[in-house]
Amino acid sequence: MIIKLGKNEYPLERPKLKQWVYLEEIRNKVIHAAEVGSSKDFLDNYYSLISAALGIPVQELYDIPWHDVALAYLYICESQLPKFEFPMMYSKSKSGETDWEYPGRTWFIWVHTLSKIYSWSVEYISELDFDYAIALLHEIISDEYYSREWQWGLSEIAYSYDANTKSSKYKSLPKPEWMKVRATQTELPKVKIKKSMLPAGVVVQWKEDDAEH
Amino acid sequence: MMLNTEKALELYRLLQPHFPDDVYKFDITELIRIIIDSMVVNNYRAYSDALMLMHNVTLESMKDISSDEILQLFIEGLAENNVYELMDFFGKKVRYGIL
Repeated sequence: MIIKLGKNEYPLERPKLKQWVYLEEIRNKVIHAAEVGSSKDFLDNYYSLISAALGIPVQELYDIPWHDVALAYLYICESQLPKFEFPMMYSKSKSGETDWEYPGRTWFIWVHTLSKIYSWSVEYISELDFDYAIALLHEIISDEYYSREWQWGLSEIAYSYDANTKSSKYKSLPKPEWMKVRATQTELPKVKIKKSMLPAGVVVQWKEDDAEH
Repeated sequence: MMLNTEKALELYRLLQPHFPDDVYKFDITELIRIIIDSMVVNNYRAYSDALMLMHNVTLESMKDISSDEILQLFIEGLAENNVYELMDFFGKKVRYGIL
Protein backbone atom coordinates (compact mmCIF):
# COMPACT_ATOMS: atom_id res chain seq x y z
CA MET A 1 0.00 0.00 0.00
CA ILE A 2 1.17 3.54 -0.77
CA ILE A 3 0.59 6.29 1.78
CA LYS A 4 0.50 9.89 0.56
CA LEU A 5 1.85 12.47 2.97
CA GLY A 6 1.87 15.99 1.52
CA LYS A 7 3.66 15.72 -1.81
CA ASN A 8 5.50 12.49 -1.02
CA GLU A 9 4.45 8.88 -1.18
CA TYR A 10 5.64 6.11 1.14
CA PRO A 11 5.15 2.35 0.94
CA LEU A 12 3.41 0.73 3.91
CA GLU A 13 4.14 -2.95 4.47
CA ARG A 14 2.57 -5.39 6.88
CA PRO A 15 4.98 -5.42 9.84
CA LYS A 16 6.88 -8.50 10.97
CA LEU A 17 6.58 -9.64 14.59
CA LYS A 18 9.31 -7.45 16.12
CA GLN A 19 8.13 -4.33 14.32
CA TRP A 20 4.50 -5.19 15.15
CA VAL A 21 5.22 -5.50 18.88
CA TYR A 22 7.10 -2.18 18.80
CA LEU A 23 4.33 -0.39 16.90
CA GLU A 24 1.65 -1.86 19.17
CA GLU A 25 3.48 -0.49 22.20
CA ILE A 26 3.55 3.00 20.70
CA ARG A 27 -0.10 2.70 19.60
CA ASN A 28 -1.10 1.84 23.17
CA LYS A 29 0.71 4.98 24.35
CA VAL A 30 -1.18 7.04 21.73
CA ILE A 31 -4.49 5.60 22.93
CA HIS A 32 -3.58 6.15 26.58
CA ALA A 33 -2.53 9.77 25.93
CA ALA A 34 -5.80 10.38 24.01
CA GLU A 35 -7.81 8.92 26.90
CA VAL A 36 -6.11 10.98 29.60
CA GLY A 37 -6.04 14.08 27.37
CA SER A 38 -2.30 14.66 27.33
CA SER A 39 -1.62 16.60 24.11
CA LYS A 40 2.17 16.46 24.34
CA ASP A 41 2.36 12.70 24.93
CA PHE A 42 -0.27 12.16 22.30
CA LEU A 43 1.59 14.13 19.62
CA ASP A 44 4.99 12.63 20.50
CA ASN A 45 3.74 9.06 20.27
CA TYR A 46 1.44 9.73 17.32
CA TYR A 47 4.34 11.11 15.25
CA SER A 48 6.66 8.33 16.48
CA LEU A 49 4.22 5.66 15.34
CA ILE A 50 3.90 7.06 11.83
CA SER A 51 7.62 7.74 11.62
CA ALA A 52 8.50 4.18 12.71
CA ALA A 53 5.94 2.52 10.45
CA LEU A 54 6.85 4.48 7.32
CA GLY A 55 10.53 5.02 8.07
CA ILE A 56 10.49 8.80 7.81
CA PRO A 57 11.94 11.41 10.18
CA VAL A 58 9.42 12.78 12.68
CA GLN A 59 10.25 16.38 11.67
CA GLU A 60 8.87 15.76 8.18
CA LEU A 61 5.42 15.19 9.68
CA TYR A 62 5.17 18.54 11.47
CA ASP A 63 4.03 20.60 8.48
CA ILE A 64 1.86 18.05 6.70
CA PRO A 65 -1.92 18.74 6.74
CA TRP A 66 -3.52 16.89 9.65
CA HIS A 67 -5.89 14.95 7.41
CA ASP A 68 -3.06 13.25 5.48
CA VAL A 69 -1.33 12.31 8.73
CA ALA A 70 -4.60 11.03 10.23
CA LEU A 71 -5.23 8.82 7.18
CA ALA A 72 -1.68 7.47 7.42
CA TYR A 73 -2.25 6.70 11.11
CA LEU A 74 -5.48 4.83 10.36
CA TYR A 75 -3.90 2.80 7.54
CA ILE A 76 -1.01 1.91 9.85
CA CYS A 77 -3.44 0.82 12.58
CA GLU A 78 -5.28 -1.29 10.03
CA SER A 79 -2.06 -2.99 8.91
CA GLN A 80 -1.48 -3.87 12.58
CA LEU A 81 -4.73 -5.80 12.90
CA PRO A 82 -4.47 -9.61 12.99
CA LYS A 83 -6.22 -11.36 10.09
CA PHE A 84 -7.97 -13.78 12.42
CA GLU A 85 -10.09 -13.05 15.47
CA PHE A 86 -7.93 -14.52 18.20
CA PRO A 87 -9.97 -14.75 21.43
CA MET A 88 -6.81 -13.96 23.36
CA MET A 89 -6.53 -10.56 21.63
CA TYR A 90 -10.07 -9.58 22.48
CA SER A 91 -10.02 -10.52 26.14
CA LYS A 92 -11.71 -7.89 28.30
CA SER A 93 -9.55 -8.48 31.34
CA LYS A 94 -6.30 -6.56 31.22
CA SER A 95 -3.20 -7.87 32.85
CA GLY A 96 -1.97 -5.26 35.29
CA GLU A 97 1.54 -3.88 35.15
CA THR A 98 3.99 -5.65 37.37
CA ASP A 99 6.63 -4.01 39.53
CA TRP A 100 9.38 -5.49 37.39
CA GLU A 101 8.11 -3.89 34.18
CA TYR A 102 10.54 -2.03 31.88
CA PRO A 103 10.12 -0.33 28.50
CA GLY A 104 10.08 -2.81 25.62
CA ARG A 105 9.54 -5.85 27.86
CA THR A 106 6.72 -7.18 25.68
CA TRP A 107 9.16 -8.04 22.89
CA PHE A 108 11.36 -10.03 25.28
CA ILE A 109 8.33 -11.92 26.57
CA TRP A 110 7.56 -12.95 22.98
CA VAL A 111 11.16 -13.99 22.31
CA HIS A 112 11.41 -15.87 25.60
CA THR A 113 8.15 -17.73 25.13
CA LEU A 114 8.70 -18.73 21.49
CA SER A 115 12.40 -19.59 21.82
CA LYS A 116 11.76 -21.67 24.96
CA ILE A 117 9.23 -23.85 23.16
CA TYR A 118 10.54 -23.97 19.59
CA SER A 119 14.25 -23.17 20.11
CA TRP A 120 14.11 -20.50 17.40
CA SER A 121 16.69 -17.71 17.15
CA VAL A 122 15.85 -14.09 17.94
CA GLU A 123 16.35 -13.19 14.26
CA TYR A 124 13.93 -15.88 13.12
CA ILE A 125 11.30 -14.81 15.69
CA SER A 126 11.70 -11.14 14.66
CA GLU A 127 10.76 -11.99 11.08
CA LEU A 128 7.69 -14.09 11.91
CA ASP A 129 4.30 -13.07 10.60
CA PHE A 130 2.47 -11.70 13.62
CA ASP A 131 -0.71 -13.68 12.94
CA TYR A 132 1.36 -16.85 12.92
CA ALA A 133 3.09 -15.82 16.16
CA ILE A 134 -0.20 -14.99 17.91
CA ALA A 135 -1.64 -18.38 16.91
CA LEU A 136 1.44 -20.13 18.33
CA LEU A 137 1.30 -18.14 21.55
CA HIS A 138 -2.38 -19.04 21.80
CA GLU A 139 -1.47 -22.73 21.62
CA ILE A 140 1.43 -22.39 24.06
CA ILE A 141 -0.80 -20.75 26.66
CA SER A 142 -3.57 -23.34 26.13
CA ASP A 143 -1.04 -26.16 26.47
CA GLU A 144 0.40 -24.65 29.64
CA TYR A 145 -3.07 -24.28 31.08
CA TYR A 146 -3.97 -27.94 30.52
CA SER A 147 -0.65 -29.09 31.92
CA ARG A 148 -1.19 -26.93 35.01
CA GLU A 149 -4.76 -28.13 35.31
CA TRP A 150 -3.50 -31.70 35.52
CA GLN A 151 -1.03 -30.76 38.29
CA TRP A 152 -3.76 -28.78 40.02
CA GLY A 153 -6.01 -31.87 40.05
CA LEU A 154 -3.33 -33.75 41.99
CA SER A 155 -3.02 -31.17 44.75
CA GLU A 156 -5.14 -30.78 47.89
CA ILE A 157 -6.14 -27.20 47.16
CA ALA A 158 -8.20 -28.40 44.19
CA TYR A 159 -10.65 -30.11 46.57
CA SER A 160 -12.73 -28.22 49.07
CA TYR A 161 -14.36 -30.15 51.91
CA ASP A 162 -18.06 -29.65 52.47
CA ALA A 163 -18.91 -30.37 56.13
CA ASN A 164 -22.63 -30.75 55.40
CA THR A 165 -22.31 -33.45 52.80
CA LYS A 166 -19.09 -34.76 54.36
CA SER A 167 -17.50 -35.00 50.95
CA SER A 168 -14.89 -33.18 48.91
CA LYS A 169 -15.77 -31.21 45.84
CA TYR A 170 -13.41 -30.56 42.93
CA LYS A 171 -12.67 -26.89 42.21
CA SER A 172 -11.32 -26.45 38.72
CA LEU A 173 -8.29 -24.26 38.04
CA PRO A 174 -9.50 -20.76 37.08
CA LYS A 175 -9.21 -20.25 33.31
CA PRO A 176 -8.01 -17.09 31.61
CA GLU A 177 -11.02 -15.07 30.50
CA TRP A 178 -10.52 -15.84 26.81
CA MET A 179 -10.57 -19.60 27.48
CA LYS A 180 -13.95 -19.54 29.15
CA VAL A 181 -16.92 -20.94 27.25
CA ARG A 182 -18.79 -18.24 25.42
CA ALA A 183 -22.45 -17.82 26.31
CA THR A 184 -24.62 -18.57 23.31
CA GLN A 185 -28.08 -17.25 22.80
CA THR A 186 -30.49 -20.17 22.66
CA GLU A 187 -33.89 -19.91 21.13
CA LEU A 188 -36.70 -20.43 23.65
CA PRO A 189 -38.78 -23.50 22.86
CA LYS A 190 -42.44 -22.95 21.99
CA VAL A 191 -44.60 -24.46 24.72
CA LYS A 192 -48.29 -25.12 24.41
CA ILE A 193 -50.34 -23.83 27.34
CA LYS A 194 -53.69 -25.28 28.34
CA LYS A 195 -56.67 -23.05 27.61
CA SER A 196 -57.74 -23.33 31.25
CA MET A 197 -54.43 -21.79 32.31
CA LEU A 198 -54.78 -18.70 30.09
CA PRO A 199 -55.92 -15.44 31.75
CA ALA A 200 -59.67 -14.88 31.86
CA GLY A 201 -61.35 -12.00 30.01
CA VAL A 202 -60.53 -10.31 26.74
CA VAL A 203 -57.06 -11.14 25.52
CA VAL A 204 -55.47 -8.41 23.42
CA GLN A 205 -53.10 -9.99 20.93
CA TRP A 206 -49.73 -8.32 20.47
CA LYS A 207 -48.87 -7.65 16.85
CA GLU A 208 -45.38 -6.63 15.80
CA ASP A 209 -46.79 -3.90 13.53
CA ASP A 210 -48.46 -2.30 16.53
CA ALA A 211 -45.23 -2.07 18.47
CA GLU A 212 -44.68 1.58 17.61
CA HIS A 213 -48.27 2.66 18.44
CA MET B 1 -5.43 26.21 4.43
CA MET B 2 -5.57 22.91 6.27
CA LEU B 3 -3.79 22.96 9.64
CA ASN B 4 -0.98 20.67 10.71
CA THR B 5 -1.68 18.01 13.35
CA GLU B 6 -0.57 20.07 16.35
CA LYS B 7 -2.81 23.01 15.44
CA ALA B 8 -5.67 20.73 14.39
CA LEU B 9 -5.56 19.11 17.82
CA GLU B 10 -5.69 22.56 19.41
CA LEU B 11 -8.66 23.45 17.20
CA TYR B 12 -10.37 20.20 18.23
CA ARG B 13 -9.91 21.12 21.90
CA LEU B 14 -11.46 24.55 21.31
CA LEU B 15 -14.41 23.20 19.33
CA GLN B 16 -15.07 19.99 21.21
CA PRO B 17 -17.20 21.44 24.06
CA HIS B 18 -19.44 23.07 21.47
CA PHE B 19 -20.17 20.01 19.38
CA PRO B 20 -23.61 18.40 19.55
CA ASP B 21 -23.77 14.78 20.72
CA ASP B 22 -24.69 13.24 17.40
CA VAL B 23 -22.63 15.15 14.87
CA TYR B 24 -23.88 13.18 11.87
CA LYS B 25 -27.51 14.17 12.47
CA PHE B 26 -26.73 17.61 11.12
CA ASP B 27 -25.56 18.81 7.73
CA ILE B 28 -22.45 20.98 7.57
CA THR B 29 -24.38 24.29 7.58
CA GLU B 30 -26.44 23.29 10.62
CA LEU B 31 -23.40 21.94 12.41
CA ILE B 32 -21.40 25.13 11.90
CA ARG B 33 -24.38 27.21 13.07
CA ILE B 34 -24.69 25.09 16.24
CA ILE B 35 -20.97 25.44 16.98
CA ILE B 36 -20.95 29.20 16.41
CA ASP B 37 -24.11 29.74 18.49
CA SER B 38 -22.64 27.74 21.36
CA MET B 39 -19.26 29.47 21.18
CA VAL B 40 -20.70 32.96 21.03
CA VAL B 41 -22.98 32.29 23.99
CA ASN B 42 -20.71 30.15 26.17
CA ASN B 43 -17.13 30.99 25.30
CA TYR B 44 -16.48 33.92 23.00
CA ARG B 45 -12.75 33.65 23.68
CA ALA B 46 -12.70 30.17 22.13
CA TYR B 47 -14.36 31.62 19.03
CA SER B 48 -11.62 34.20 18.53
CA ASP B 49 -8.89 31.71 19.48
CA ALA B 50 -10.16 29.24 16.89
CA LEU B 51 -10.32 31.96 14.28
CA MET B 52 -6.75 33.09 15.01
CA LEU B 53 -5.57 29.50 14.86
CA MET B 54 -7.29 28.66 11.58
CA HIS B 55 -6.15 31.80 9.73
CA ASN B 56 -2.93 32.57 11.57
CA VAL B 57 -4.10 36.10 12.39
CA THR B 58 -3.85 38.22 15.55
CA LEU B 59 -6.60 39.95 17.52
CA GLU B 60 -5.12 43.29 16.42
CA SER B 61 -5.47 42.46 12.75
CA MET B 62 -9.06 41.41 13.24
CA LYS B 63 -10.14 44.78 14.61
CA ASP B 64 -10.54 46.24 11.14
CA ILE B 65 -12.60 43.34 9.82
CA SER B 66 -16.38 43.49 9.99
CA SER B 67 -18.23 40.87 12.08
CA ASP B 68 -19.77 39.42 8.90
CA GLU B 69 -16.35 38.93 7.37
CA ILE B 70 -15.11 37.34 10.60
CA LEU B 71 -18.03 34.95 10.53
CA GLN B 72 -17.28 34.14 6.91
CA LEU B 73 -13.62 33.46 7.77
CA PHE B 74 -14.66 31.21 10.64
CA ILE B 75 -17.00 29.18 8.43
CA GLU B 76 -14.33 28.86 5.73
CA GLY B 77 -11.80 27.72 8.32
CA LEU B 78 -14.07 24.98 9.63
CA ALA B 79 -14.91 23.79 6.13
CA GLU B 80 -11.24 23.77 5.03
CA ASN B 81 -10.32 21.69 8.05
CA ASN B 82 -13.07 19.11 7.51
CA VAL B 83 -14.79 19.83 10.79
CA TYR B 84 -16.75 16.53 10.68
CA GLU B 85 -13.66 14.43 10.22
CA LEU B 86 -11.66 16.48 12.69
CA MET B 87 -14.22 15.71 15.36
CA ASP B 88 -14.57 12.09 14.35
CA PHE B 89 -10.85 11.45 14.22
CA PHE B 90 -9.66 13.11 17.41
CA GLY B 91 -12.81 12.20 19.31
CA LYS B 92 -13.11 8.56 18.35
CA LYS B 93 -11.09 7.07 15.51
CA VAL B 94 -7.71 7.88 17.01
CA ARG B 95 -8.49 5.51 19.88
CA TYR B 96 -10.00 2.68 17.89
CA GLY B 97 -7.73 2.98 14.87
CA ILE B 98 -10.54 2.07 12.49
CA LEU B 99 -10.83 3.64 9.07
